[in-house]
Amino acid sequence: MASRASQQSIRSIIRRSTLSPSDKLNILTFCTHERYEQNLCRTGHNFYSINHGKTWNKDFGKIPENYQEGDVAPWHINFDLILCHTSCERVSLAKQLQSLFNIPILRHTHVLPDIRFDVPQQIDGFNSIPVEHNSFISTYNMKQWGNHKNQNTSVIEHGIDVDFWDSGDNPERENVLLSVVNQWPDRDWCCGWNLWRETVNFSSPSQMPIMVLGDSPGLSKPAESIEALRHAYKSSSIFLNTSIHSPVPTVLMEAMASGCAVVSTNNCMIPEIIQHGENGLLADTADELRASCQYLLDNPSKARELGEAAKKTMQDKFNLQRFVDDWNTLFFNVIDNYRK
Amino acid sequence: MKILYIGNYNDGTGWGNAALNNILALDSVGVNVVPRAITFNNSNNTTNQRIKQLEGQSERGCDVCIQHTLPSLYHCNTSIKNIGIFYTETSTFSESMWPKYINLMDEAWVANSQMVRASIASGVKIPTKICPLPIHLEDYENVEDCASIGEFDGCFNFCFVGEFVKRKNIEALLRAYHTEFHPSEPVNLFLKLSMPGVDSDSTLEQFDNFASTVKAGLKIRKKYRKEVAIAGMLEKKHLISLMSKCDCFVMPSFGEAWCIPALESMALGLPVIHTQGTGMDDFCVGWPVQSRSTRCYLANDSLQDVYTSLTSWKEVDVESLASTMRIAYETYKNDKQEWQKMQNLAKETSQNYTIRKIGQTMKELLNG
Repeated sequence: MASRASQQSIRSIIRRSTLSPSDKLNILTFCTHERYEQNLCRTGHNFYSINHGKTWNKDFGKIPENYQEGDVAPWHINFDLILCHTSCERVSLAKQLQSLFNIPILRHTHVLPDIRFDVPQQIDGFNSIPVEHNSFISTYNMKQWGNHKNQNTSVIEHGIDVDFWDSGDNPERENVLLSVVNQWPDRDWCCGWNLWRETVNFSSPSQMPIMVLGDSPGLSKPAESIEALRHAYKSSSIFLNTSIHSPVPTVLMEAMASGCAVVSTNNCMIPEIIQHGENGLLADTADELRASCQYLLDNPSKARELGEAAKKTMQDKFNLQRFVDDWNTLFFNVIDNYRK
Repeated sequence: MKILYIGNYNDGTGWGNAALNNILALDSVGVNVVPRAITFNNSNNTTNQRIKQLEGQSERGCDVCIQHTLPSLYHCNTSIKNIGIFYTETSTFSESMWPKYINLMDEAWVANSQMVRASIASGVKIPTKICPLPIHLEDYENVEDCASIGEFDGCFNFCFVGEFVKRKNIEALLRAYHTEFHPSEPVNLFLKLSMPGVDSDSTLEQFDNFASTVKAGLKIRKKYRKEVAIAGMLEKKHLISLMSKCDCFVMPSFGEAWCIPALESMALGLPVIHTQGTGMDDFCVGWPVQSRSTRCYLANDSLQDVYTSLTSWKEVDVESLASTMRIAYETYKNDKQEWQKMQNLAKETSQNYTIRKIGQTMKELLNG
């Protein structure tokens, strides 16, 4: 395999030959998940994002100093890698850039096949675009896309900045069921809007104490800042997650890191994180979810106990340092294994 | 020492094959070489298993980077030694950006002494060393008789292998051959032609039209002996078989950095007639033909910013070329002993350019 003769491709080859693990990498990417990419920037590498379909929404988080947006790839930079978060359309663009820059493509997949459409066709489409390395946010995701771990396929589980989510003030926890979802009514198929309504007896005289944050017009508004969101997690006794088809909502993990007891649906990657009765409560139906919520509302000490255990899970297994270390290892492995 | 070798060795062109052979040459003398391919024509012709093995190595930790590409693509990394390999056929290239790019390197390797002079004259300040091009000599021993052309039988056959481009000065060859040899003489002119991006039928059609125009311009005969021309990709063993049935190689070009077909012909025992003052002077056994410096003109099929009328190349003297071709034929016909001596010398000289010997030269250059 030969790359197109260009100064960029030659620069890339030479740069790889002299790269050391302490070097900051130059990574070409496309903005996808602001909060996730904020964490990724903790690796310290330089990220250059090409505006393609989506730009950074500052409401979701500040742009880190080592993250630069632009309409085109800056030609003067010696890139090391293209990082694509999921989208096939972006992978096609990444392929074009690869032919010029002669650098490997790493596709990191957050989502699951969309069950509203032809799943086998999506899996075929996904696998029909070969890249140098595929990584997934969970083993569950990887399997759903018909992949398995090997030299070119890996899993990087989420990392949560536990220090941040556990810091700040320590308000008295209110006996309330907090949920954080954007566009909730429109995303019933994945976020379980109707399941939540049924669980909390929404708009009925027997409605449970609820608090909802997120950009859902007519229902709720997003937290004004990330600190305000943290305050909400830390001042609520219970976090209720009713997602139906989401690998693992980041907000669920943030709530856990804040020491909030969680009650959640038992699907996708969630049982890989939450062990029922140990660091949260899992349930399959609205009745079961409601019963679990009620149990914790009635037993605040149990809620605190589960909340502390949830925080410990995040500290032990999903901390940011592990996340950063995993990404650094993967970045350098992908570059090392590129032989073009 | 670990060498990163960047070149278009997959392109299947003469230039690409030079890179391929250089990599194999380094490998043959135990130099740890990591090849990385770039392409100018989107080809991927490498079937060489050894190259594939070498490509499987990591480029991490290389001490030296050899860039076998156009100087305008050179990139310097200060933490390793940077060597640029380039070829040109003109007396200077100072009006182009090349000297600036070449001076970014720590060292330059060129194919012949004429190029060293051209580099100095063009403002290249870095050490410029000669690294000849190797061939796989074993391919030219015990040649398989697997291709033939009827017209060759019982004739003396001049051979030309190269691109049908302005630089090769095929016009001079046609003029010399048709002026010097009467159609009744048993002397053929065999041409194996290629044109970048043009299929074999179109190449031959364009050549026929060109040859007709040249012959019409001579105005000395009603009918000329037809050249034996073929075009397009030919399996290497078939081309070698045909070349082995020829008697003398002729390269009248305005400039040659090296000319692999000439060296291949020598390995087959063919003496070479070539334009004096070109890079071929360094290795050819046979007859250099008198030439004069002339402005590089109409080289529209060569690099636009290098082959311009601000520089010059060598125009072969057609009269001298014709008489030299006559001398070659007469020597063959009348002085078998002398002819044999030239054949042996050609073969012997080609032995200096084996993969291993050039590998050794490269190793010494690297260590020097």
